[in-house]
Amino acid sequence: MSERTAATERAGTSTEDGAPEGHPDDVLRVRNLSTRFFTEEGQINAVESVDFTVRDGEVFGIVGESGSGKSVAALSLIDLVDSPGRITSGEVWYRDADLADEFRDDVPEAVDGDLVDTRRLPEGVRRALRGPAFSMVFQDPMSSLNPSITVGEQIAEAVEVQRRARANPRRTRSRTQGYGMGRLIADTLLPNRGYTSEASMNRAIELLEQVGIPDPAERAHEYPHQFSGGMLQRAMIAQALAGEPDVLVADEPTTALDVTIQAQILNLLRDLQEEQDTSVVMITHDLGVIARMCNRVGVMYAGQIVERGTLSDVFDSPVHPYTEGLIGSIPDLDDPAPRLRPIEGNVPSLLDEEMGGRCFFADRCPKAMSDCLQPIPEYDAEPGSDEHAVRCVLARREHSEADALPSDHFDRNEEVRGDE
Amino acid sequence: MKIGPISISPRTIRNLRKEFRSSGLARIGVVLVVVIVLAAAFAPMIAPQNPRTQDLDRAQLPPLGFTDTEQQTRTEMVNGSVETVTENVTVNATAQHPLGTNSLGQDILSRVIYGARTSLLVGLFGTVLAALLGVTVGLTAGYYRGRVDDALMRTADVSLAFPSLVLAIALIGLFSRFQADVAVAITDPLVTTGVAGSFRDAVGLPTPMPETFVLPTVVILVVGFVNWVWFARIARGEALSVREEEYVKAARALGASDVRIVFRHVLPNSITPILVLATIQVAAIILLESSLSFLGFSGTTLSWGFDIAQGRDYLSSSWWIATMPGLAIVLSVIGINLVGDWLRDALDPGIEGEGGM
Amino acid sequence: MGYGRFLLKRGVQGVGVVWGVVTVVFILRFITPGSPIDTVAPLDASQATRQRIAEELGLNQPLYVQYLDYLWELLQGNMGYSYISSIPASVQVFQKLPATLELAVAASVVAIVISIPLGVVSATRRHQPADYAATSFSLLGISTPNFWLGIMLVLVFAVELNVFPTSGRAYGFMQSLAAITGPEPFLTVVTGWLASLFLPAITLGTYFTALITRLVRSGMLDELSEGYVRATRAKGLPETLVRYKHVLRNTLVPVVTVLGLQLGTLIGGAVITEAVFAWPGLGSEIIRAINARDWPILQGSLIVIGIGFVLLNIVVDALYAYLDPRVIAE
Repeated sequence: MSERTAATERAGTSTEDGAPEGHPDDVLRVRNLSTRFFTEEGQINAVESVDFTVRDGEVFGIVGESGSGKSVAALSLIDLVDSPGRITSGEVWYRDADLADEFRDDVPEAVDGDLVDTRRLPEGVRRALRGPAFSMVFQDPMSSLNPSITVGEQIAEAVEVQRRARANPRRTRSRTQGYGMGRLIADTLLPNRGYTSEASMNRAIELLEQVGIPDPAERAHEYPHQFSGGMLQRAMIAQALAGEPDVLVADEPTTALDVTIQAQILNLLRDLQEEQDTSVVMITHDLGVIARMCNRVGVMYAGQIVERGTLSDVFDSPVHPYTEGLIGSIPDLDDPAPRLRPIEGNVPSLLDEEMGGRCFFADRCPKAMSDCLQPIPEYDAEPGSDEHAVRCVLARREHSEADALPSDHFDRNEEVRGDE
Repeated sequence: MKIGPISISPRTIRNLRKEFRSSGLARIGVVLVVVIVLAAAFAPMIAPQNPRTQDLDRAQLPPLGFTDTEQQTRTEMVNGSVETVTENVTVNATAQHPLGTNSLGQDILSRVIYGARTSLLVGLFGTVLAALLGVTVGLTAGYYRGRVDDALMRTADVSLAFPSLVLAIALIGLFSRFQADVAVAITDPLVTTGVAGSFRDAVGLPTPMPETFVLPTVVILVVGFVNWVWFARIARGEALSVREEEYVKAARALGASDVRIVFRHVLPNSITPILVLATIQVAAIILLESSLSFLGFSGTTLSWGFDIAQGRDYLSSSWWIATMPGLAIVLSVIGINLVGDWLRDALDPGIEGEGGM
Repeated sequence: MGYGRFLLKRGVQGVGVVWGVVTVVFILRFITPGSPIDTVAPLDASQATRQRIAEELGLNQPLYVQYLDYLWELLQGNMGYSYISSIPASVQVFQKLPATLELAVAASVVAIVISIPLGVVSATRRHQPADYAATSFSLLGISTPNFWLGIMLVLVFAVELNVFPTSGRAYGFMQSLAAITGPEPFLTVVTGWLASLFLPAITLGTYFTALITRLVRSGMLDELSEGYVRATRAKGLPETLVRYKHVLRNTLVPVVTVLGLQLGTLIGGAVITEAVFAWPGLGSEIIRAINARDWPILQGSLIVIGIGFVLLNIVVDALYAYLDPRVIAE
């Protein structure tokens, strides 16, 4: 019974001054991010104390089942969480030397070298980052584009956002983002004036060509319903890249598409990402996509990142039983088992009152032990490992039957709770 | 819970209750509607006076809390010669006429209470008639589709090209001159059985109350007729979607007759938007009826619109004559609209916008 | 299909509706009690006189002949002559039309200008004081009978405060145009006209302001939860544009549909408003014609209204297709 030695707790769970540690190539460092929804039925802890980093030019994957909180995590990065949701804590450090210089004196606690904690910046500044710094591709392209405005026009808007932000950053950060009612009325009434221009439309056509849409000049003047699913997703990608962002967040970009189209889109993303050196945060429930696209991965469960590391760390040497279960549930063509091996049980409720202060996977975990009945911090999966972190006591000790929880442990507890 | 062929699921009742509890406006609406319905039903018992009794000595009395000044001229013998004397006389309100009296000395509050009867009867019966007509046409058009649908919908288009008010005026105006009874006089059971009388004696209110009540049948028929289109559209839409449902196809395969299918399957599932529309229509028809009586195209003089028209001539001297019945209309329609909103929020039938007048 | 062909198709349908209107209007005379002879002939007319009048009016011919005659005359623009005044019906009707048009246009402008921003503000500031004020106002607005509203407005502004005239129409649009170069001082004419138009326009417009506010508010609330709103914000587009260029455009689609259906209410409301304010338009004319059994005027007015209604609906459809291009694809 050897214990893993020197398994250190990750420092990231406590708030400290300055950016969390990481790789010099990191473009994004997230620490202790929590997002909660305050609804009539109670408080929902959608994202709970999430840490991860994204490196320049890489593809970072976030994988999890539905309800794991991965989409909310993505929205939280770009500050697009609508009420009744709110980001309740955490830091999102973004590398931008110009931005750091600008706020170094005003908000010193939010700046550390080239990194800036966007959560501590004024709201206008955060909003202005959408487009030029962060952009997003959504799951269903048909419902992510306005059905009554041409595709070209919508992409031209994204181009224009970036152009104006670059030309006049101060104005873009104002409450109206540089475009209020006065301008709107003027542009509507006066001829030949609008938010977009011929130049931005031309750029939009260029972008459509870049993503592989034939006859881009004609198609730019068509409406979303005239595109097929795959074409429209390409257009969405074009729109997301219009702002030349540093980080592109892709939320299940291929889930709504046919399998054959999926491969095309993924290849496109990969090509573009390499060309423009954009970092991608790829959110998906499909392990195949992860395996194909990602350099590093985070596994989410019940709002937490339960394991993260490089692709080989997570796929070849998983520590967390959930990760093991996920990898194990992939059918293997070379060694077909008679039955698939799913993970027993169901995803837990994210209602605050129903979540215990314990490892959230314990009720489904085949290796649950008494140690698991308290909140689990993040540990290094291997001693001194920089990359591979896991939220599981198995990083510190071996599984032992002596301490294992009886299989009906949680049923009993639920019964007890039910009586109250 | 079943009403005829239509059963209301427990989930619906739960939704209704939940919405009722959470929405203050829904409660206000229900209260207003209940007040109006009770007033209309028990009019002979609660109205302070007989609404038709004229008393010229007590004409144009102001409502409680207001005083009015009038100029009166008299001729007098002063020192042997005849002189006209003008003086300002203060007219006080009296508790016997809490909302004042009109130019004929009729009690305004009583007329408002009785007017509720007219409005409610026309509103309810008119809506029922429009619903029967419209739903039948709509279901037929939606279920059979094809040429039947086209023909019926063209008729609807033409019908819409005539503004309902104008059409109603035309029909009533053109038909009524040569009709002996534009309306039907109904006996009021509360009065004839003496219930109202004994109640009033006990409470100390003057009797007797009118024994018959006028039901403006032509208005009801016309109003129902000009509003069928709204129900037809909704019913048609529902029929179009329900007919594609699996259980309808199954019923057809089993050999059920069309009529049976429509009644047992299509209708009960379409009832929610029809119900919501019906509440909107009751409000619209009440407004329509008051407009018609305002213009003089109604079968009865005991109507809010009629009183407002009367009061118009006295606007500068006795403003309350025209104001009070109008307030009654506004409150009733607000109440009905709030109830309609309640139903729509609770039942969520997904109909767009409002059906018009 | 293309925009032009879409409009053409609607136009053809419109002609069909107009024909339906004409037919119904024609039949109306035959199903109502009484005969035109009673209107035209003096009370003590002899049988011979009545016969003569019947001949003149073509009442002795078979029904279908009268019908075809009627259609033929209509296509030439001839609506007959007023039974009362003997003026050509078309002249009399078109004389009265501008006044009603002014009223309807003024009311519509007031309604649209106020209600759209009000609805947007109400939807985007939900549950705040501005929203409560707007929803209360719109509830009142759709629950108030417009004739009573008109009377109350007259009471307050004309009788008590004496700011506006109690009734009647002073000058008119054409006269205001003429006054730019004409003898009467422009300012007097225009202010006189607008002052007389003000209360009637508010009276007619209130219901629609309230209705549109409600529709825009609920439409926007629904629309704001659509997927593209979040995606559009995600690309950094200023909020003003998100609301007014993207969301409002889609919100207006069902609003415009409902408005198209409400045109009848607008005309009905105009009739009442004209009665309240003694506004000399087509509405008052119709009531007069009904009471007097002046068929050519009544029929002519109804047909003109029908045509106007169809035209307006085509405009509404055009607007609809502009806002939502998917409509054309049907």
